[in-house]
Amino acid sequence: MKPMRTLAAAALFLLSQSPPTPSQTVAIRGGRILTMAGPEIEDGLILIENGRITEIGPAREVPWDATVIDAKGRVVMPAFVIAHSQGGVDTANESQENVPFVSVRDSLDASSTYFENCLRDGIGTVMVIPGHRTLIGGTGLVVKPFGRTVAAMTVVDDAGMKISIAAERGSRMSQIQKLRRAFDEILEYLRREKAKAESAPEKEDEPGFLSDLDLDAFEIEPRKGPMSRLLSGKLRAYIWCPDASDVIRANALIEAYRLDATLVVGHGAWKAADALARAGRPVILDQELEAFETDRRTGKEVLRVLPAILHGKGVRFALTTGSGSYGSRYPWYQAAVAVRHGVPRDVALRAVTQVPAEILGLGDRIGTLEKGKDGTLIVLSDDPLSGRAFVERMVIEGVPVYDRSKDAKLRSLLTGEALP
Amino acid sequence: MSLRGILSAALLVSLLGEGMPAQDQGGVVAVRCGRILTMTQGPVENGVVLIRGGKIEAVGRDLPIPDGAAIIDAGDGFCMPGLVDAGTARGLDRGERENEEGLEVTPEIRVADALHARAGGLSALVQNGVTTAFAAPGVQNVVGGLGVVFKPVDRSGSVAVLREDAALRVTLGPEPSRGNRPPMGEATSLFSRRPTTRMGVIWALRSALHAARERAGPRGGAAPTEARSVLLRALEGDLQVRIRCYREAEMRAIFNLMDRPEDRFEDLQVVLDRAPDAHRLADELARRGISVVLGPVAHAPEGRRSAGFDPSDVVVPTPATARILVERGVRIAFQSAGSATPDEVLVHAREAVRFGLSPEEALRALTVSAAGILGVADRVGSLEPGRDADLVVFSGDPLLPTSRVRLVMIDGTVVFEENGGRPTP
Repeated sequence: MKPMRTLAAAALFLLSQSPPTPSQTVAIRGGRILTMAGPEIEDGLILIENGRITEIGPAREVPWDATVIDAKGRVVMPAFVIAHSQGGVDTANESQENVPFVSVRDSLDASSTYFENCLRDGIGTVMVIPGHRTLIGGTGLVVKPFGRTVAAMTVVDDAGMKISIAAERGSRMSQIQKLRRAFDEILEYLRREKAKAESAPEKEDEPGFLSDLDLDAFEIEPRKGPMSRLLSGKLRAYIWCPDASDVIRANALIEAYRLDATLVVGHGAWKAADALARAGRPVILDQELEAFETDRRTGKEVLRVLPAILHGKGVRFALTTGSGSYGSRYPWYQAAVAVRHGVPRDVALRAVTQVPAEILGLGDRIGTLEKGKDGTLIVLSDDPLSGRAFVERMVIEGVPVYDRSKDAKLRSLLTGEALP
Repeated sequence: MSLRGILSAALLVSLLGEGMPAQDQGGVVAVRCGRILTMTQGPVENGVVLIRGGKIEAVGRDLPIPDGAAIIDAGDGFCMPGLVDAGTARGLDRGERENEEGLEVTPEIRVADALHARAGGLSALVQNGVTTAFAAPGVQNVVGGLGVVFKPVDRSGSVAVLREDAALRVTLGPEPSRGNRPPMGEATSLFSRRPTTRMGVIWALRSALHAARERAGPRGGAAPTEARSVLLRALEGDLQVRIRCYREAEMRAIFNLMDRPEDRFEDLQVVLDRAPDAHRLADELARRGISVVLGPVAHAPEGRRSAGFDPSDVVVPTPATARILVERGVRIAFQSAGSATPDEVLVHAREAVRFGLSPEEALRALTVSAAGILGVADRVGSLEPGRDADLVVFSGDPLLPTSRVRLVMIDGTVVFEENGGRPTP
């Protein structure tokens, strides 16, 4: 995690170079605050100084030099966090299947409308990572949807390695075999490099030799860098598991190679809910939350709702968003679908804030509104689950980055009139 | 739903078995509900819908419930007429591409011959509260054929037909010409044909209508073919024409066909289909009394492309279209068309409300307006005496994204009921 922190600090520095705030203190006054860390606060006040929350509680007099955002009659909550997305890149997948050395960093388009929509939809932090269609797809990037360059947007560089258990071509057994071979090659390489660095003979079996391996101590080929970090537990794997059997195999791989991993599960994974519960790690759900399964013999179509099933088994999950003009595109909509089928409101809202923040290793900074955390929040016109709420304002690390009253594109959508 | 409600409804269904009529034809069913949206006679709080022989007998607050009536207690739910999907491709093997190949004008083809009750997706439609739907042949032909209004339930393998030959499918969008090559030599695919341009599409329609009219004239003589008699009925305004279109220019082409001296097909009863640009011509549509069937709202999950043509490269839909049309006096309905989303029409209504359509109008578009457009408002779309007992009970306000379908009834029979409020793992 150490290099990530350094990079995050660098990114923060870059941000402080970008748009100057009118004042160092921002006050969000009035409004109902959903802190995601405790009870709601009616008519609350949040003070943000130098990007961090310094006060959160009932309303009181605001410092004279603060920039005030009036949230009276509105709802204030942490900006949404999406832990797995393919937005803002031209192509989600490399055409070759084993490309651990590529990074989303090199394909992200800072001017993509995806990020503009993130602001409009209240998404304050998003991990953009290669899609599902490769074997080892490359590394992702945690960004905020604000800034003119990829560097200015970056929160965590090389934030995770995308791995797919399901084969796009060929069979599942060859997919697993190829994964093992790729892992074993790197392990062998690291053993050899270590032996070289220590001028000691290569040892065949060294249990745990990776955990205390200092990768900085010897020179790693650039092509092998990300995989070396993955196999020494310094880079998290995001493993795509569309079906239940993929979950079982992914868990076996994680154990065998001692990976730090988060599963990204598709709808078919509902049958593996018990295995997910036993593993104890929070999972990321694909966009499709409700799906009808057809029994070929009876013709019966049965609705399965993945978040409801997982919640019933005690599995914690993060929700992700899709594309399109409405529906799964919105984090609040995804949370509402979960609530529709019996997931408690608090669990559903945490699944688009606190849980994804925790998965991304940013739980100490974002996902809840607490003293000391980043001043990254949204002001909504209505309750997030009402289906009628619009994002009025978004603040990222104390910088007001979105104001609905100045959003000409949204106004044009609402009025049906063409943009000037 | 209260526990008692769940139990009594579950008991009823378990006693009678799924798909069985709740009562004999003469039997009486009473649905008690916290809020009843009749759509035509105002809402009723804590009322009862009384059903006899599959038809609604009465709706009211203090109705006496006859002895021996089966009671379904829907607790604090919202009860409303079953939703109307004003255009679906579910139930068709090839979805929106269900077209007879070889000719671009096939008015006499009937989609009803292809619909079957156990086709994939129809049950999912019902489970999302849809009890009436319209289906038409696909959109690959300029004149596709005859559509049908039906209830998505199994009646001896077929669906329950509500209205045969309800409308004639015409497509003026890019679908009929997309990918076509001029026919040369032996035709090897659907695409070896004309038209190859949009002007060709309009011409194919014009020439078919002219041919039908001319041959029907005094010099025509011969008995009209079936294809021609279908077109004639459309020309005389006896058969609704459901026109798939996208751009303003395509809508203006329709007006031209109705207005220009050399065409004067002024009696065409036009309903626009999809028409994401319709709000630009709202006043004109209102003046001509043309209704619009909007949708789908296009939010298929990423990575799973909806089959066929994506209209967003023609016109980007505006979420305000529904509101603007209704405000200017145009009747609207929603449709799922080729969408993979089973709750498509409901989602569309929810989107329209978020973008300014009044909740009352959104609910009307889902029920009574859609039934009106499809010509079946005397049977479905409202809860009033004499109408078919097709209803849906939601757990809360149907327009909230957190509300779910608890129970669906068609012709007085419970066809779907949620499993104790939680999907079975």
